[in-house]
Amino acid sequence: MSVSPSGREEGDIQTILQDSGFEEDTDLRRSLEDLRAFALNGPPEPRADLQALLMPGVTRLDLRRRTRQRRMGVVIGAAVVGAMGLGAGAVAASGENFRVTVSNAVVKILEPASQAQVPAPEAAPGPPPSNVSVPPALSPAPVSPSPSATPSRSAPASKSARPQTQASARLLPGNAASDHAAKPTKIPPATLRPRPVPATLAPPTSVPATPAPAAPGPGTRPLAGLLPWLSSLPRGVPDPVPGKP
Amino acid sequence: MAVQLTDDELSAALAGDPSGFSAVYSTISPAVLGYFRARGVDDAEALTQDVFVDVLPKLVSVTGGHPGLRTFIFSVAHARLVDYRRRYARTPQLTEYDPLADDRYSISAEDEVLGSLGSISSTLAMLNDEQREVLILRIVADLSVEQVAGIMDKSPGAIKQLQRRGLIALRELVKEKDYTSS
Repeated sequence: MSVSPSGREEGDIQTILQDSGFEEDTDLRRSLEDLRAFALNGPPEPRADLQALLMPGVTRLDLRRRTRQRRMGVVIGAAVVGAMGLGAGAVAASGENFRVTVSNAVVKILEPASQAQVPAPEAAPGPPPSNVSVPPALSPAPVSPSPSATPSRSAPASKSARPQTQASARLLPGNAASDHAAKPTKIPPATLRPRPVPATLAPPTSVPATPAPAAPGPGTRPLAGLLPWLSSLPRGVPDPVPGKP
Repeated sequence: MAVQLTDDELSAALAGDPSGFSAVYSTISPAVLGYFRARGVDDAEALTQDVFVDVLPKLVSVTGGHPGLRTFIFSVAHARLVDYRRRYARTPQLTEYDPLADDRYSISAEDEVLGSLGSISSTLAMLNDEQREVLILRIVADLSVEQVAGIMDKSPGAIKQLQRRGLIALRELVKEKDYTSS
């Protein structure tokens, strides 16, 4: 069997005309023969890719196209990611607000963790657990860090009242003046605080003599010793200056 | 005389042999080129080669012998024509050079020889799009009613109706043109 447009020309056109009942119309037959002449030209000259398909040894061309497109996609994706990284780095380097925002965000993320860790050592001395804020948290601090105070509760109980009065005295300077002025030397710091105190706290005897509101140092020092990381947080309490109001 | 596709060449083409590809291309590409020219494609040769670049690697999956091969190739050509029409509708229209408005214009011998082809093209352009498609696929592509029905996704009865109405309209247009010219 063979397929040839010219071989079936007469029969096909005649069949088409007969199917529609126009087999005697010569003008219509001539028009259909003119239409058939569109298919009587020679084949067009094949271009390069088609010529490659007609040559032996070449199977497919679209596979190479797909791999090239896939490679181009990878290259474009890498270029986009690199450009975004460079842009973000440039913004972080140039904009100060960006850095401040990022540091605030980091602090806010770490803050809940710090709040969850701080009440744990404060729960032992026995201050009301509702006082989580900074000033009440500082008051029981002188008692809680002492390791010898926790085994014997009776003896330190009377002594532990004194730091509380000191802490409350700092809040009320009038009482502090009278209390510390009355017996500043009776309370040796070594007996009240068996824990070794840094050298900067050596002259605490003179500290209570001064007006209490300006010296929060004795209360904050042990807490700072227990939680050194707390000093890295935004400072709510200024550093004490021993011997100075 | 047109080149004929033998059974051996068909078997070679369906087996993926490049010699069979060449035979298929030299036999059927004139009909595909004529199909695109009759439909008014401006670059019919490029579209014809696009069709064969797409078709030749897929011949191993073709079944149905000679009619199946021809149906497959013209199905791809029909789809390419639809894509071309959509793309053409989106592209801005360009104003062509009008040779009649040029003072240096003179009637060429080639235009006189190809005058009949130009006349049938202008007559076909006045037909319904589906009627024109059916007539071109039936006559230029040399396909049967069933093959055209498969390509256009219609029933054979609908194709016969479109063919009959297209012939009636073509006859009226031819008579009108002859009356006008005489």
